[in-house]
Amino acid sequence: MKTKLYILIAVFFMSLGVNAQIDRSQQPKPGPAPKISLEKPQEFELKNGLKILVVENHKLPRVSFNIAFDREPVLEGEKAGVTALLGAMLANGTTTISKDDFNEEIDFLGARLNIGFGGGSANSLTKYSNRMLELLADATMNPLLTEEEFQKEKEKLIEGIKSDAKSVDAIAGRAGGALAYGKHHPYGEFVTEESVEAVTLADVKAYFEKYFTPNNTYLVIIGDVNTKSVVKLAKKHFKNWEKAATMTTEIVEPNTNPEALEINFIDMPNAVQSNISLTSNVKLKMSDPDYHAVLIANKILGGGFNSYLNMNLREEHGYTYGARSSVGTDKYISRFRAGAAVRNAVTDSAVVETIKEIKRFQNEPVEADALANAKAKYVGDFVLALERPSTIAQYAINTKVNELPEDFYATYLEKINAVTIEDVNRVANLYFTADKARIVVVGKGSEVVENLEKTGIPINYFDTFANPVEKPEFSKPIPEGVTAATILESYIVAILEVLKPSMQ
Amino acid sequence: MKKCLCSLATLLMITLTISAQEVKFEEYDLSNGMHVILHQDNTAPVVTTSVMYHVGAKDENPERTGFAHFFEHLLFEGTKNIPKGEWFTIVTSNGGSNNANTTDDRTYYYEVFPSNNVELGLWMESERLLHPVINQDGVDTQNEVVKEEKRLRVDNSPYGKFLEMIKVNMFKKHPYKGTTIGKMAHLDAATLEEFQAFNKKFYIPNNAVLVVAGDIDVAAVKVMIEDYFGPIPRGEDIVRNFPKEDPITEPMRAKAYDPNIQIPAVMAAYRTPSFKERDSYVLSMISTYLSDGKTSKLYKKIVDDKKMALQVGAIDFSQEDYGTYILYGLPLGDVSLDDLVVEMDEEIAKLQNELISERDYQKIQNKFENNFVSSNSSIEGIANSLARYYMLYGDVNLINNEIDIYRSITREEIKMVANKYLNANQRLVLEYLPESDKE
Repeated sequence: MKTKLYILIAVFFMSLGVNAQIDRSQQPKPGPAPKISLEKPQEFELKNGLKILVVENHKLPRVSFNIAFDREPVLEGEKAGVTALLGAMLANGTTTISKDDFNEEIDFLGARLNIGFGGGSANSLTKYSNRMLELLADATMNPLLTEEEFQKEKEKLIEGIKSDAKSVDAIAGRAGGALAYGKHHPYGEFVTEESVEAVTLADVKAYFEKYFTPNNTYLVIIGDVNTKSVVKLAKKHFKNWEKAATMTTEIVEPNTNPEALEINFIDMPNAVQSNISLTSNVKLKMSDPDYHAVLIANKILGGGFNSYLNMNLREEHGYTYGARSSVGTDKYISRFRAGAAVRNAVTDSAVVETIKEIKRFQNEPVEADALANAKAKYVGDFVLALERPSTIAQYAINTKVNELPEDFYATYLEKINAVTIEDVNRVANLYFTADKARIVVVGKGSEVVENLEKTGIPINYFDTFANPVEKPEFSKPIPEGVTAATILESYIVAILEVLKPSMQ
Repeated sequence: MKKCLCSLATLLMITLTISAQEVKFEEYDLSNGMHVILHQDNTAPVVTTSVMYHVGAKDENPERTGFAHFFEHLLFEGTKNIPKGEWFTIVTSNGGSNNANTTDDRTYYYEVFPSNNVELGLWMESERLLHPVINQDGVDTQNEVVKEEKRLRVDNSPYGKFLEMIKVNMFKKHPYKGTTIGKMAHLDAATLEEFQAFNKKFYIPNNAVLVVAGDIDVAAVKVMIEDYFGPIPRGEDIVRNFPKEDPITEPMRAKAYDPNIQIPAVMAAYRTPSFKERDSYVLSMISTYLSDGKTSKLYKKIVDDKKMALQVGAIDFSQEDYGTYILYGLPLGDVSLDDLVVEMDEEIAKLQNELISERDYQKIQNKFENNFVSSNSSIEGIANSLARYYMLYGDVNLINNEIDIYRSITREEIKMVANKYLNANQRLVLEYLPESDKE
């Protein structure tokens, strides 16, 4: 039984006796807390460093294999797009199986096999799983990388960039990262037509050689398998994967947070909603002692439906379909973000209310109820996640990748429940900010900027590629004799003129 | 150490193995006409409580579109015993998750809780049905929220209006011609009394199915269900009599413009039968044949070999009364929309004139077998399927034997169905263009 290592965790729910006659005016009390057990995956390691995790689960006759690379952040620089191109070209044949034969076999088995830069997966019914593992190994270690496929994927990637050009959300995502981290940071850089054009097939191959190695790589096997035989099979297929020399990458310093609150405005004349995102960089690791308190704090501020932000922006004011905040964890740098997509007319009000809620959260202690509710939600989510066999594999990988203590998940609920009102207040002031932050607003300038200016927060203007620009000339009310269509035409021309000098 | 012990672990696992392929369930009616389906699975301490109501956008007054979806928002505002704003707090503070969604045919509400809160889930759903609070305050709040949802999902979203444009052209009489989210002007014009009347008409036990699935004690849950739902009064039977569409006999063409896109798209849409019909299952196999996987016919030819498109696909959008079968493509480079249609038509013509190969037939069967196994992998998913098969398909057993329908479909049938529905004179060709192309 040692291998199973069951950890029983008492779930912190109140439990009362059997109900008497029902009284529907009273909310029913929970029954006795369910006992949950946190299993651990079986672990193995090959000589080349590949780590194998196995979770047997025979509920359904299917198996999934996942390969996950644990790498330092990769800076693509002037060739941004090289990892996307490599990813798009993978899983299209191997050096010994033609592309058509490879794809035909997988489709015929009714299976799925995908490989990207970050990892790969194969899913199938049990009866085909041995072959799928073999194909996944072959395609990961010996991919077919041809000039023809390269050119095709390049063209598709460029078209994809064009198709995002008028998507408010896509622009907000791209510019938001670039403004927060800087365009030359791995987390802030983005792909452009020019950078894709600069990539050659040789670059793609070099990236493959450098980054597709068994070091710090995990093979996760979940489902209807026999551990002993599947591990034997995995060893057979992956043992020849050559270990690479260990790499050390220098991580560029990200942008610093601004000294004072500022709005970074990006004009999108087609927008009917503004995408608002307050962002500031934070350093938070899963192994930090504050981790659990920050999770709870974010849950209360903007992590769910009944959070401060959503209750204000959606339920009280009806500005948005949903307002949220988030805080990332990362070995290097991540972001605190708060925002919403709101209709043009209330953009300024939504900005003001967002700031107000963050400040209120920092200045006033949270109510005991709100804290208890946030904890209960984490406890519930923890229980619900156990339905998925992938959860325990994910926990095992998180533990290794993030250098967590071995009992991180066994003590997780205990630590969540230990968070106090003072903790929440303390981390809210340490990790969240409404002062030293950028508020990235992507929206229709002609309808929102005038009011945004009235907030008194300084506004800096950027194009959709996060290049600083002068404040654009926003169109005035339509003069007599001019149709909306002609205005639109000249407006687009005006915008293009503004963009020109900054396009490289 | 680990290695030598794993055979022991394996032995242990084998004894615990249960074949959970078949979804076992029990169903019955309450005296007020509410249908109940129970599914017990104690492998994880999780329970889903859900209610599906047979009311969707097609049931609306044509001058009050958007009501069904609006209710999906309104019925979280509170009940006689759950104060406004408390719904989500109660769910999360008990470790649960919840949501709801609306289609043209039905509205679905559900909670997922750790299994010690099954009674709470039942209480909440019974409160929603028995006495929701529908007042002007709630209507006003949700009116704004729904408008934001429309802006987010439709107006600000690239290609967000394509389904709306297809529906309005494909349906002339049946309410499927409108969108689920409806017209905002209709919602603005609606009175409180109209909302209350809608609730009285459709939110009744004899128009609903309750599903409780997961880690439950069946006998105890049955008592709770009777306690909470039994006393809810039955409503007046709902009579549905939707106008029938005339067959499409002439080719149709239309254009639509979207300010959020730069790359145009073309869609070819065909009218097809209800998802209950056997032909609809055949069409679903055809869409797998045409566009699921890298070796599917449309993808392989148009995207991979000829490099004419960024994306192509087939969507089998089937609904309770009719289906719409949509082929679409986004051209690459200078390829025209008509060129894409020609290429797609070529593949349809092959389906109509020749039998698909034995190997391709087996490939489709293998894909459906794989999908079938995965479709019942979560309790939440099983609950939804049980409700859907009961309410919309009229046969809960489909959760276990739908795969037999696919297995029984022959290559000859595929050819026949392609000839019956996928003809050029039975379709709409929609050019979906960037706003900047407008003259």
